[in-house]
Order: sequence, then structure tokens, then C-alpha cells
Amino acid sequence: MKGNQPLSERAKTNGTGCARFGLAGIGLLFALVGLGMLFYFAIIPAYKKQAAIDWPATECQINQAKLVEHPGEDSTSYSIDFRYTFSVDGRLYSGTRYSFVDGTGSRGMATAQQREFPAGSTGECFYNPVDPRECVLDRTNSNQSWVSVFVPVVFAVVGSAFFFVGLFGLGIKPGGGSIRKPAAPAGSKMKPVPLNVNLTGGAANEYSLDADKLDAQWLPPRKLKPETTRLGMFIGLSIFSLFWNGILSVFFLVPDGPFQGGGFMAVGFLLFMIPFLLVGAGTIFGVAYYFLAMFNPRVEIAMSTGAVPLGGQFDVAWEVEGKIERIKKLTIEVEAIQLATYQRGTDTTTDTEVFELLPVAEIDDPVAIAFGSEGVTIPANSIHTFDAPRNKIKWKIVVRGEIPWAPDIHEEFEFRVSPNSDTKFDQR
Amino acid sequence: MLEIVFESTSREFRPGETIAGEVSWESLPANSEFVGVRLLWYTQGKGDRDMDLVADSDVAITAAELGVGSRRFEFIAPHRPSSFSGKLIELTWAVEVVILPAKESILETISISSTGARITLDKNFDDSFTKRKRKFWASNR
Repeated sequence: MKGNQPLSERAKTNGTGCARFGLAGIGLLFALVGLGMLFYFAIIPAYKKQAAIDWPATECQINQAKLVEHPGEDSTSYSIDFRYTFSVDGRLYSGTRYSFVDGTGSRGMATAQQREFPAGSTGECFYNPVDPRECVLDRTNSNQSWVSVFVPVVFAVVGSAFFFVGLFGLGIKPGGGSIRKPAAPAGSKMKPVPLNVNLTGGAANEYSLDADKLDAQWLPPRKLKPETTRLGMFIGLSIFSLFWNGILSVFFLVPDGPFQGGGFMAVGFLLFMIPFLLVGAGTIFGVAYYFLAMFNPRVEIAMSTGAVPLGGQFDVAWEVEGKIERIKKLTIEVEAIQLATYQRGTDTTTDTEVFELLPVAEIDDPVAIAFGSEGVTIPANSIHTFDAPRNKIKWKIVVRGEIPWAPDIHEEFEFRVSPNSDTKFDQR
Repeated sequence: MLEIVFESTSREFRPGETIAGEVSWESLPANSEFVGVRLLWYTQGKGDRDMDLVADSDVAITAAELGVGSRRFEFIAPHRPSSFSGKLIELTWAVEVVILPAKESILETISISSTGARITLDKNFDDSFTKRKRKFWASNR
């Protein structure tokens, strides 16, 4: 196989790292802009609104309520230039603020404010008792548009997602697939070497040494831990569900939101939101599912060795605690799977394929379900555990328990398979 | 022109065996300074590529050798990872020769496993097997 760029050199010049950091930079910018907008247009007004709850009301004279146009590139926005006066303890104060939400809006919104407080009329305003110069006509921020919350949130969420994906790549190491860079620096000057001298390279294989070390650590008998715990799934899914449904609720709860007015806009927006609502509903169902699953009987798995050589045998023992009578059938199998991870743009996908399935036990007798053990032989012609950044071979013990009218038990316990024990040798 | 010739006619090696051969060249670019011989493995398939450089050796080339030259190389086959081929992942061992700094290269694949041959990860089960096993368990209760 010939190529312009050597395979061993390609890992040095992979541009994925640059693109990824660029993505992280753009994401960070978007996130900061979104957070800034959210802070200015939503958080600060909300804070001031809360602080103004105890502000006293007083009668004020509306001296001016002038409609002001703000022409833009594509459209014109409007605001009302208010001027009003009031007295506190015999002293005259003036104000210009309508609410804590600054900015412009539609003509309809502006004229509504104008009708509420027409020039020459008297109205009610609220002032800060500590400093009456701080005052508003509307302390409830009723003119806050849902857009002022929606847009910053989208910026912040999408920007944050781009930032984390760009920086951490969803677990994939940036900079190419090389596990180890070449030891010999290219281009260094060396003395000429006579012809036909052996170029001996020791198979000092850092990858295999690390893997052998892990196998040695896993060799003793051990109790295995499940790959994911039910509590962990419940907590993780709950956090995601709160976040997702919390953002969705903004569009339904914010005053003057897209659903308040009704009509085509509300229907159109609802149709647009359906996929997001389905995801939200799915997360709620998932949270309930894993909550119920936490009360399932607990399965513990132990192995006579955690690192089995190809062709080797081991014993697997199980113990089930809790309400065993709920389990209709318990199935224990050994699975070997290939995992291949690839990136397309910013999406990272992992495909899996089970290539080995070894039955261990299938039981419906409660006594046998409670505890037991079986011997298993790993096929000699299969493949050992392999762990690279993007491609892996994993071996697992999979326990499934059928529970009528409740979430089934499904737990996976990873273990290691080492190369055939006859082929080990000391590395140079 | 670059060429790799293995001493063994078979490209299959077991762990611990010697992977030996000779790399020869003709008419290298005038700026060629080193020949690098590298033992590596890489993955192909559905997933993005992983690669590891297991052993390498860069040796200087004399000016007299630019027209024609050769070097013998020798590696010890590691015991892992084994060459394998599955539906999603294929792992291949190879010897690569690189002329530096021009980066002209040639790569020849080999196989390393306990039997020498590449391990094929066919699905070693099917539904009928699982069903037969379930019947076995049911009948032996």
C-alpha cells in the first residue's frame, strides 16, 4: 500500500483539533452573548421586580407620553417616552421609566402603554422608599416579551453545547486517533550507518503493556460493579428532564408568550414545538421508569477472575437481594460487543454489534434465582478486550430479570478477556 | 521506488515470532536523509481510525545510497492486539517504511494473532441457538 502521506505521520497533522477548538470558541462566544442578554433582559428585570414588591404606590401626574419610532433595517419598533411627576413627603420627584424592562416593542404594545397612561392624566406609580428618584409606572414587567427570554436562552444553550462538544468532543480525544506518538523525532541528524545493518525494533508496545497491566489488576476474584446504576440513571435523567422541560415551560408560562394571543401563530408554534414536547414527555416517562426501577431486586455478580484468557474458564456467581418473588425469570448471559465511534460534523455516533453471546443461566425458580453459580468458557478463537479511543471490544455479563407490571431488571457488568495465555511473553 | 520484502513467505505471525525483511529503494529524492521502518497497527471500518506506532527506527541514508540502497529490519511480534475483522471494526498490523523528510512511504500489511491468521468476528450465535439453549434449561430443571 503506497500513499503520499505515511499512515504513521497522519496522526501528527490531524486538523480535527483545530476545528474542534474553533467550534469551542464560537460556542463560548454564543454562550456568553446569550448569558449576557439573559442577564440584562430577564434576570435583572426579574430581580428588580422582586425588589419592588414593597415599594409604596402614589399618585403621579403624567406630563408626557410620546410615541417614539425606532426605524430598523427590516422593521420599525416603538417605545413611549414617558415623563411623570409625584411628590413624597412634600418633595417633588420626576420619573421617565415605564417598567424595569427596557427596550422597544411593537406599535400595539407601545400604544397600549400610551392609552394606559395618557399625557395629562393622573396615574399610579411606585417609588423606592429609600431613594424615591427610582420609580416606575409598572413594577410587574408586563411589557416583557417572551422573545427577550427565548432568544438568550437559545443562544446560551446552543453556545454551551457547541463549547463542550468542541472542547471535550463527547469523550473522544482530539488530535487524531494515534494512541502514542512516534518515539523517534523525524529529521534529526544521525551518523551514516553502513549497509545491511539490522534495524532491530523492540516490540516495546506501550499499548500492550498498559493492557497487560490492567489484566493483572483484574486477575483476582472480584465482585463486579454494574456499568450504570439505577440511581445514576434516575439522577441523570431527572436533571436532564428538569433542564429540558424547564426551558420548554418558558414558552407556555411567560406573559405575552406565543400561546397567549391564540390564532395561527399559536397553532404554528405549537406544531413546531411538538417534537420538543415529545422529548420532554419521554424524559418524564424515563424518570418515572427509573424511579420504579430503583425498587427492583438488586443483583450482585462475582467472578472467579475478572480477566479471563481466550479459551479459559471462569465461574460466575450471582446473588439477588430484595423481593425475589417479583422476578418471573432471570437470564444471565455473556456478551461480547464491538463499539465503533465516528464523527460526522459535530455529531458523534457509536455503533455497537454483539458478536458473541454465551448463555450462562435462565432460571424461573425463586430459590435458584436468589443465588447460584455457573462455569463459562470463553471461545479460544474469539478476540480479547480491546480499548482504543474510537474502537473497542468489550466483554460483559448481562443480567435480565422479567418483572411483570414493573420495569425489568437489566444490568451489565464488564470484565476483561486477555489474549490466549500461551502467547504471553516478556517484552523487550 | 520503495519495496518491502519479508523473509517469511507468509505474512502471518504469532506473538513472539520475528517479523524480518528488507526494505529497498531506488532513485530517492536528493533531499532524502533518513529511512524510517515502523511497526504499527490501525483500525478500519465504521468507527474513525485508531492507530498506534509500536516500534520504529530511523536510520540515516548516505548520499551514495540515494540511487539504490536497502536495509534489513527485524521486529518481534507483540501479543496484542490481535489482528481481527468484525462487522464494525477491522484491526490490521503493518510495516511501514518512510523516507524522510520527503515522506515517501510504503506500507505492507501483516497479521498477528495466536494462530497467525486474522480472527474473524462472525456472530457466533443466532436466535435458534439461544432458543435451543432455553429449551435445554427448561428440560433440565
